[in-house]
Amino acid sequence: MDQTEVNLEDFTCSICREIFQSPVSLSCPHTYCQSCIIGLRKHSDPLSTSESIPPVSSLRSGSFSHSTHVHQSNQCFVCAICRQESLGYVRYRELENQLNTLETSCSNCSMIFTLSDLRKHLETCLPIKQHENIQTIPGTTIRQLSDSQTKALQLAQAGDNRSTFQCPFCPRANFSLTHLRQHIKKRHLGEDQRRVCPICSSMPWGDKSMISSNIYQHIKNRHQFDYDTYVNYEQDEEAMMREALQASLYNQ
Amino acid sequence: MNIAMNRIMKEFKEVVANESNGIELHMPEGELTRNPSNSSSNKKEIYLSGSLLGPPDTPYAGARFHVDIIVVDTYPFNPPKVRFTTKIWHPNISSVTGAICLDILKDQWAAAMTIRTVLLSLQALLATPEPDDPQDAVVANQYKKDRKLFEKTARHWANVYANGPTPEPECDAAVKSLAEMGFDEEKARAALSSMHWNTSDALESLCKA
Repeated sequence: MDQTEVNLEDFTCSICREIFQSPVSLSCPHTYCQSCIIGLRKHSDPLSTSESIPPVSSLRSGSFSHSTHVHQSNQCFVCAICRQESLGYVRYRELENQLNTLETSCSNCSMIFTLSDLRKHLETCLPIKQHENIQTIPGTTIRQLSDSQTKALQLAQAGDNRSTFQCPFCPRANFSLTHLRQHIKKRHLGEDQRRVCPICSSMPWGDKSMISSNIYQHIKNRHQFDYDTYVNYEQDEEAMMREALQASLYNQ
Repeated sequence: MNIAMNRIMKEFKEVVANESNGIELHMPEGELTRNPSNSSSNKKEIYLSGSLLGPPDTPYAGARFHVDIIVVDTYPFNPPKVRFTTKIWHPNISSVTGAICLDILKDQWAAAMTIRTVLLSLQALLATPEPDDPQDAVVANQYKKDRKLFEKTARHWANVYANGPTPEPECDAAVKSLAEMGFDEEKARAALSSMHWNTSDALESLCKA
């Protein structure tokens, strides 16, 4: 599926202003989430959402072209956009299928989801912050390191190995920077992205207690070159970045 | 409550993210929700405040008007309660209480509307008053009978209460003369405005009150 074609506005319920969940149409034919439409019942208390409207399997003749499933009820709904009244509503199967197949990327973390998964994801995905202090993270996200990770970390901290890194998610180690990036993208993008950066923590200036709120974005943005190429481990990071930039100018 | 709160949070981001129409929306500091003062039930209401810039080519141009917005817990299925907190001279807005007569805040509300559309509609209302469906009969009457005087009064109020750019020296002087007699300035201005800036009529109505 082409990801760039999706305009989220087209898939947003104008009542809850989120991506549709179980979309249904009125006869006007504006579309809403099934749970939102309950508030549109005429002469009803909008908050009594506990009663559900039983679907009736009998088909009504052609008033709704895009669906075969008619929810008939004696309830009258007033459209939230055009105020037209409709008797009952229909499930919008075609749109439901699109929600389950069309993919787009999250504007915060640029991970790719189907539209229906994106709705769930957006409830928890926060805009990226470069670093979050460890105190603000609940203890449960701090994991025990595996044996190979501990070994790798010890080596790194001793200054013996600063060119390969352990994965912050799984027990695998000895990744080069590029491979680590690919590995996380392939295996761990769906997981909680709050991790200590293995690259930062193996550098002499790194803070081993800092947890990045989104480790994949952190590695992608922060660690764009292999340190071994440019790094003089006696210097701080800013000075090295300047040197690296200067070197790149001379190379041109 | 959840749907109302979730919607407001999303709308808030939208207004903050893309606003160039001179409207603003603010969250209160501290507690966001309160129990309505006149009810013992545990229904919560969200208290917001907003402001809008007077539309160009009107007596309100360049002035900023503030509104209180109370989001009921059945929002967006019921309209928010909106009231001007900046005093304003307009046929559809009470010059005393700031209450607004606008169809979409009453029976013409639809759940797809947002706080943003409400603020934009208020801006449109400032540009096109509806004197035949008035909230403030005195203002509406003046609007229909003496448009020039209405515009002068509205400009004066906008200048005094809403930082409007154009002062009306005659109005300022008339208010000042009554204030020097010991009358409250705000009451003197309201009396003069209602009495077509006739000082002796205004004086009479102030003494009666």
